Amino acid sequence: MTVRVGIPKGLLFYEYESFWRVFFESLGVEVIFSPDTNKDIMKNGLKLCEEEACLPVKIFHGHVLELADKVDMLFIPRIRSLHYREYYCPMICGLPEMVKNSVSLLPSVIDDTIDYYKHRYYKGGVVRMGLKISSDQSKIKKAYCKACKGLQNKNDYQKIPTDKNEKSYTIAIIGHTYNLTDHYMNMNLIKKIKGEGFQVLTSCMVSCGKTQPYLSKVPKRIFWSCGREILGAGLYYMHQQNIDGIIYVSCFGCGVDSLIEPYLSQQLKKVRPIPYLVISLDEHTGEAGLNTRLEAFLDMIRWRRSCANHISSYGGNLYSC
Amino acid sequence: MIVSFPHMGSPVPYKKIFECLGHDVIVPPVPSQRTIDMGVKYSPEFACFPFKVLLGTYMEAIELGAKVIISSGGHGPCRAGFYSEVQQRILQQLNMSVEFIIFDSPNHGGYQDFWHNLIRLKGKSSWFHFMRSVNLVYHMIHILDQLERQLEIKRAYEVVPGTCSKTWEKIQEDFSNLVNVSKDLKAIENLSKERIEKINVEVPGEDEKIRIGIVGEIYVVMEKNVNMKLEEKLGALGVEVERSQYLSHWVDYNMIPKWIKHSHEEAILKKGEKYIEINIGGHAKQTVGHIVDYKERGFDGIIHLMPFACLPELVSQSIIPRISQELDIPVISFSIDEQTGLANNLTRIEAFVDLIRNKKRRLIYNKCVAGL
Ligand code: SF4
Ligand code: SF4
Repeated sequence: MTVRVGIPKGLLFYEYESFWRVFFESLGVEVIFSPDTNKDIMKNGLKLCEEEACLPVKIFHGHVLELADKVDMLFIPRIRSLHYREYYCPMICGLPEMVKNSVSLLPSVIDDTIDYYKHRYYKGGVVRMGLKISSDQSKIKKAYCKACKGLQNKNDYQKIPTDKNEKSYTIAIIGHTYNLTDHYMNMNLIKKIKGEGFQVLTSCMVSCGKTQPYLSKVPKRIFWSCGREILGAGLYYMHQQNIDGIIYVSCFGCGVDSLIEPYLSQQLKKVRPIPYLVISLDEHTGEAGLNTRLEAFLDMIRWRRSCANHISSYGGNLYSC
Repeated sequence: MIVSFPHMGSPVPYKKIFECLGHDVIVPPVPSQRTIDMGVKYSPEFACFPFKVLLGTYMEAIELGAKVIISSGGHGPCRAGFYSEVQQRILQQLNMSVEFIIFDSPNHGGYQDFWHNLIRLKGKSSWFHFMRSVNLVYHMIHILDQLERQLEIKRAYEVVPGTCSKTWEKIQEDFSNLVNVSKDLKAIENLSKERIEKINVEVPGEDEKIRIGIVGEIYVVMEKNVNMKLEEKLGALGVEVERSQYLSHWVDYNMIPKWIKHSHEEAILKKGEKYIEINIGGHAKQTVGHIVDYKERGFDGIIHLMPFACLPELVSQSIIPRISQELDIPVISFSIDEQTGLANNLTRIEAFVDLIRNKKRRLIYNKCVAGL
């Protein structure tokens, strides 16, 4: 019987899904994902996890429970750092510890460390994980190379529409990848906005190279990878004339957002005051409340465009750079 | 420069070094409810608690006329490194602009900034004088910590309640007023020791003693005004206390290059490895390391302090039940936020101490019975 490895659909899963799937499948194991987040998963997660923890981590616990009795091994890597001189947030670094102590009756857990900061390469950590499944080093290395290839294809960043279409509006949505892609958690936010006829760009669509010029002006180097991505995307979109508004999707209890968001909003006020909305997801947010806020926001954008045709009602032109 | 600094433990060493270097020093008021309220009001909701108290402290310091704030930063996975960027902007919006000088640990890169800051701090004094002042304060920190350690033990057995706390105040005053050059240190140290000698104590038998270690995030462990004066409270209940964080340890670990001195912290980190493999930022790994260390040294219980919304301590909190079980040592956690008053928690603290006391008595009783 083939070994079944379970990968919970939460947190960094959304960014590196293809990599791990290819890697494990090449090693000849069956990969099982937990289902998309649903009510039960959320409920279980809230029950299992410390109360003060952030929402995505809580939901992650729910996914783990979902998989616990269906698989032979659980994959919860300890990802400390994936980029040069950057870390992930402490919760992600300590995720396996948290999960192992909060969820009882777990199967064995693949929880090796990937620490690019210290070792400057990923392969070591990945190979160590592979060794838990197969003892054949060369097979593991091959699987690693194959998985890496898959990763390169992923980086097809989307372009911002350059023609200023009178009829269409473009909104940038920024936030952690998992906040943007877990549609249960964010209550189908992106679909809703698209449904209103808006074009949507997200923070995952901006490449490092584009954000770098803006980030280099930030006095203190941002040492969280996720924070850097979000702030970079925010600053980048802020300087694009075709962006009509920015939505920051943050979540209950997030430590990174708590400092990045105020920084960005102050910067926005100073440089280019375009419509800006912060949506903080938590388990109690009702969908109705979200809809009202969203509609008001979208209306404001439409209204501004129609007025700005005559007189500049906002500082966009004056402050643009 | 008119400088100020945040409180964390005794303010004397900070004050001394800036004074020695010829700056005007404003010692901000100790964190009070007002400080906390102001900080909370203007901070982002999910900023961690130390962020909020520090912001409040800065605001009070600025009210008193501070122009430059000197503090420490970090590059770790945790938020402390980004504190000042955001605080600076919040203060700007409130029209309370100040300049920040942030010292990041040179052990983790960033020598250039460190150097630059040192030069600013040095001001007009000569390098010789600068080194002499640093040396003075470095030794002072170590001496003060040792004295405080002695008091933390004595406090449990003092005859007149409050004597130790008063003595500690006096000692700090002496160091602040009478020490100007390294030569004075010895004399004042002896004077302080005499003061401590003079405290009347009634020490019970070894079996009756209770020792509790306080672990957790550095700010809430060290700053007694935000942690409900926990040490004094425990002392009043007849408990010997040791903190996991002392300024001297922090300085040794963060400011002294590893090739000069191996710090105490490194040994502690090693002990924590079994439970948290990697350093996840903040003091989570120290927290678990210290629990192991205290157990090895025969402590009877642990109090774990975590600031509200502190990410690393959340991780350690979730591991603590397992450690407590494996090592058979009682641990209690307190989450510290703006509403944490002693009144709400006193009963919990007392109950915890009772639990430990009973456990210990039972153990001794069982031993006696077995011995017969
Ligand atoms: S970055 Fe924020 S949302 Fe993500 S795990 Fe950390 S605290 Fe949670
Ligand atoms: S250790 Fe905790 S309190 Fe300190 S900066 Fe990190 S999250 Fe905040």
